[in-house]
This record gives sequence, structure tokens and C-alpha cells, in this order.
Amino acid sequence: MRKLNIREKRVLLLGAATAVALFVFTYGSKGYDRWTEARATLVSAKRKVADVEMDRSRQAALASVVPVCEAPQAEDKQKFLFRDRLHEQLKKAGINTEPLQFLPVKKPKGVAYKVLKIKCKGKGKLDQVLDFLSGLNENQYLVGVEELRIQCDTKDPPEQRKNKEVEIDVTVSTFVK
Amino acid sequence: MSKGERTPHSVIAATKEDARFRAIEVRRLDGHVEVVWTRSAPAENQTWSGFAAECGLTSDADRRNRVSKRHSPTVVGLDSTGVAFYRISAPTVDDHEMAAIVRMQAESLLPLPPDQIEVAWRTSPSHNGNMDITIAAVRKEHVQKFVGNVRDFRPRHIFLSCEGMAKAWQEFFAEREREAFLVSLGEENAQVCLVQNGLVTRAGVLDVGMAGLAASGGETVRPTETLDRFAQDLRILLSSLGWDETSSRPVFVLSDGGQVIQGIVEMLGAAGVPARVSVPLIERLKTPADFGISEAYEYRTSLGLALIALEKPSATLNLFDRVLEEQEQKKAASAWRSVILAGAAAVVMLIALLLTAYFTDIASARRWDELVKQPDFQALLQQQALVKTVARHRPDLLEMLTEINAGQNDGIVLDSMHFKKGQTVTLTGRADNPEQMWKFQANLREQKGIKDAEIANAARDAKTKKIKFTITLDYKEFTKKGAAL
Repeated sequence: MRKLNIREKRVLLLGAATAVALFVFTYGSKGYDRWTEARATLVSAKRKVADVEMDRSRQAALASVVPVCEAPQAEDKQKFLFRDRLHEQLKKAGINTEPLQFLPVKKPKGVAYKVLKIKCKGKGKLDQVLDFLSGLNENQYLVGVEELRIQCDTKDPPEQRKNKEVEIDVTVSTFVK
Repeated sequence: MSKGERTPHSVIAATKEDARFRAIEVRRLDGHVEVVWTRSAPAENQTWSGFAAECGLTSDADRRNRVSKRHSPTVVGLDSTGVAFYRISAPTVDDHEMAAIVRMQAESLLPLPPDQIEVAWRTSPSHNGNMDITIAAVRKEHVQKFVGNVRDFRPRHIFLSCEGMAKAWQEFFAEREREAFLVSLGEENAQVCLVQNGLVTRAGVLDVGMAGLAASGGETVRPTETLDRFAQDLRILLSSLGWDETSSRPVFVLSDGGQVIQGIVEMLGAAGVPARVSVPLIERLKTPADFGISEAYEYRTSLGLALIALEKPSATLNLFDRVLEEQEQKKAASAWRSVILAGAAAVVMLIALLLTAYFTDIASARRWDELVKQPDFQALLQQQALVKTVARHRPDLLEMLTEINAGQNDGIVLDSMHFKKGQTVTLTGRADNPEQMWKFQANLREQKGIKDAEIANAARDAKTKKIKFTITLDYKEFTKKGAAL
């Protein structure tokens, strides 16, 4: 076969370079987009995993505030689950209550769930109230105490109050789907 | 000599003749030529590279790392036995046309294809408006091999040894003429050349040397068959170079001044070849103490080559420039090829790196994405988010009550506490005196979770004479506006 001269070699080289450039510009941008997308996915996934993998002290702090938590159910189901559990806790603490009252469900801003509140009025000794408050975290449906009023009978002199009952008004909340 | 190349003040010249390597360093100083040093070594079991190292031009370490020491420029002589000389005549034309004529003539004269032969030529004025042209031709392969052999000398020039011999004769030998035939008796052969104006115009070699001639005669030469045959061959060779009995060009036999060569010359005269000896004139050289006539004779070729290099190397028959140039071009091309190869390797590596990074990222992204899309992970993520949201909205009221009750609060009786998210906490109570109330307020302010504990209302009860007060405070983030769900 005849050997190529310099001019033919240059033409061949230029042609090859052009072909490579065409290939790169055609598929390179698609590849680059795919790469960028993959990197974004990777960063996002890693961030999600990092969110789950929080450090132990933070995990412990979170567990002390929310020792138990169950995923919210539909309103019709959740409201009774929450009410029954709350009633159980009040009863366990020895607080006599009036019937628990559901407040209208609201959808607050910045929260993924709707909020159902139960208002409760009752009487009990201060120790019982404190017991009730300390055990509230065990309610797996509870979000938090929205309102709490503790009222002593002002007619009683302070020294006689110790064994007297106090009135409490408490409003607690739960998430519903 | 390339343009801009400076004429050196000292030169090292090396040859390989008569089965010996010889090197000499010659220096030109104040118009005198000084021999600095000489070195010779038997060619048996020795190479050009080894001799270069012996001369201190390259050490073994230099040969490995190719670092050159500083030394005088070097020239090397090619033994003329492999070189064919031709003499042609051509009309006086410009150089370009002359080159074409020479090329054409050479092609017809040479026994090999032009691409296998290296040709050098030189013109000299002749009669009738014509130019005499001396053509030297040698096998290209021989030149290339020789250049390869002497590369450790890093020669600036490679000349034909016969030109060195002619130059030495012209400069340092007695019996000089403008035109003469020179006979240089080597160990195994005899070099014969026609020298005109200091330049070799024709040359030939006889394969009888001192070894044969001296053996036949010993210390004093007597007529023998070998000598007769030598005289006869010399006569034929001289005739082919343009000599005859009536020629005005004398025949000189270069000599060390010894009896043997003198005897040979006398025998030649008797055989019908009138020759004279030409002996080195040592007084024309500045030499070391141990450098005498016989040394000047022994190193005559190297000495002549050094002088050519010190004067005008451009006048020599240069068979090597093209080969050296080709080698330089090859070297340059090789360097470029190396650069291009390195560049291509770098590009390939870069592409490989990019591709690796690309595919690694794609694979990692897919793996991680699959992981985070797993139902278990999603459930865990949702649970985590739920727990965090709950924790954010769950006040620790026991902690708040503990903080309210913290410190020494003698005389303070609280009647009520009201906490509602998004509103300040309200405490109502009684104190025996304002100091107790203020102390209570101060204690509240010291608590970590409580902020802005303010006395909203304080009045003395007419019946009990006690101070009834209302204190408002903020508890963490829960009493801020918008905290309520």
C-alpha cells in the first residue's frame, strides 16, 4: 500500500480531530448533564443518610424528649387512639376529669400533618398533676401540651394547700393524616 | 562548519589507524601550535567508546547518564580505506548547477544506488575554464555505523584521515611542495594521495604496509619480491592518480626519520619510482618533553585533523554532515514524538480519569439513590422527621415548673400558672413583702429556659396585707408568636 504523504496525513488527522470534536459536542453535553444530575442525586442521597445518621448525644437528647412516637393515622382513627391513651394516663395519675373535648382540626403552616387537639379539665393533687405531666411523654400519639393552667384555691391558706386539689386545664395535641 | 560556529582554540582529534586508537589535544596559542597531550591504545579488545572514556571524554557514569564533561571540541578521522575518490572535470558554473552535475556524474560512476552512497565533492580551478572536481564516496551504511561508533566522542566534525595526513604534511613536514604525491606507510597498508594546494584531490590505498615491507627487510631494507611488488603496485596506483616519470609532481614518503623508510624509498627509486622522504619538523610545534619526531610521525593524522578543525573545516570533503544532520533531525523528531506521546498519554489518562469519575459517580448515585428509595429507609426517614417535628413542638412543662420553683423563694405562694403556646406564661401569687417578690423575679431571670420575667401587676391586699402579684415570662421558643400549632 502507498504511504501517505504529510499533506494526506494532516488531512486525515484534521478529519479525525473533527470527528472526535463532533462526537464530544454531540454526546459530551448529554453525558455532562447526566453526570451533573448523578452528582446532585448523590449529594442529596448522602445528605438524607447523614440526616438519619445523627450523632449519639443528639440522638439521646431527642429520645429524652420524644421517647415514643407513632406515625400519625387518619383522623378518625388517631383521635380515638390519642383520646384513649390520654384518658388512660389521666386515670393512672388519679386525676378526675370532665369528659375530654376534641377541638377542631387545623392544618398549621410549616408542618406536614394536620393537628388535632383535646382539651381536658380536671382536678387532682399537685403531685398527681406532676405525675401526669411526667408520664405524658409516654403517650406515643402526643405532640405536645398546647396549654396548661394550674389553679389553686386561693381561699385556702398556703399551709393547708399541700393536700388540697388543684384545678387543671390542659390542651394537648396530636398529628393526624 | 555551521554559520556562527566559532573556531575553537583547542581541539581533540582521534583516529583509528594501524590497529591503534590515537588521540591528541592540540591548542593554538599566540600563533603557535601546541600539543597538549597524546594518548594511544591498541584497537584490539577496545572500542571507540572505551577509548573516549580512556581519554577522559566520557566516564562510565557519564555513559550511563549522558552528562558531558566540559572538554575541548573533538574531531574524529575516518580511515580512508573504505572511501573511493573520483576526479571529474566540469565547466565552470554556479554552485547549484555544479551540484547537479556532480550528482549526475557520481551516479554514473558509483557502483551502488545513490541512496546507499554518501558523496562529498570539492572543486579546484583547472585549465581551459573548466573545474576539476574531487569526489569522495563511501557507503552510507559505513558512515552511519561509524557515526554510531564514535558517538561517545561527540565529534564536532568527522574528517577523512587522508586529509589530516595531507594537512600535517603541509604544516609540519619537510620537503613541501604545492603539488605532490604523498605516500603514508601504515602497518598493514599504504595510503597514497595527490595533494594540491594542501588538499587531497585523489587518493588510493595499497594493501601492503610496513608489516610486510619491514619483515622482508628487517632493520635495513633489501630488495625482495614483496618490495618489488609494492613498487610495481605503487607505480600503477600513482599512474592512475596522474603521475608519470616526467611529472613535475614529486613523490614523498612520510617518514619518522628512521632507516627502514629511508631504505624503502631508496628501493623505490631503484624500482623506477623516484621518491623522497619527508620528515616531521618538530621545531614547528610546541610539544611536551617526551614528544619527538617519531611521535609527530605517529600522530601525524590526528595532528592534521586537529589543525583542520582549528583552521577551516569547511574546506574538507565532508561525508558526514548529512548523516549527522539526519541524526539530529531524527533526534529532534524523536523528541517531538516523545512530547506528542507524553501528551497523548496524558490526554488518555485524563479521559480515563474522567470516564472513571463519570462511571463511578453514576454507579454511586444509582446505589445511593436505591438505598434512600428503599421503603425501610423512607420509613426511617419519615419517622426521624416526625420525631424531630414532635420534639420541636413539645415543651417540657415539668422542666418549666422546676425552673419556676428553683432557688430560695421564701414567702412566695403561687396561686396559678398559665402556659399557652404563643403567649407569655402567667404566674399569679403572693408575697409577704416586695423584696420577696423581687427575689422571686430575680430567681426566675436566672433560669436558662426562662426569659423576660416581668412583674405585670403587684398590689398589697388590704385584708391579708400581702403583696399579690402577677409575673409574665417567656419559656424557650414556645411562648413566641407562631409557636402554637
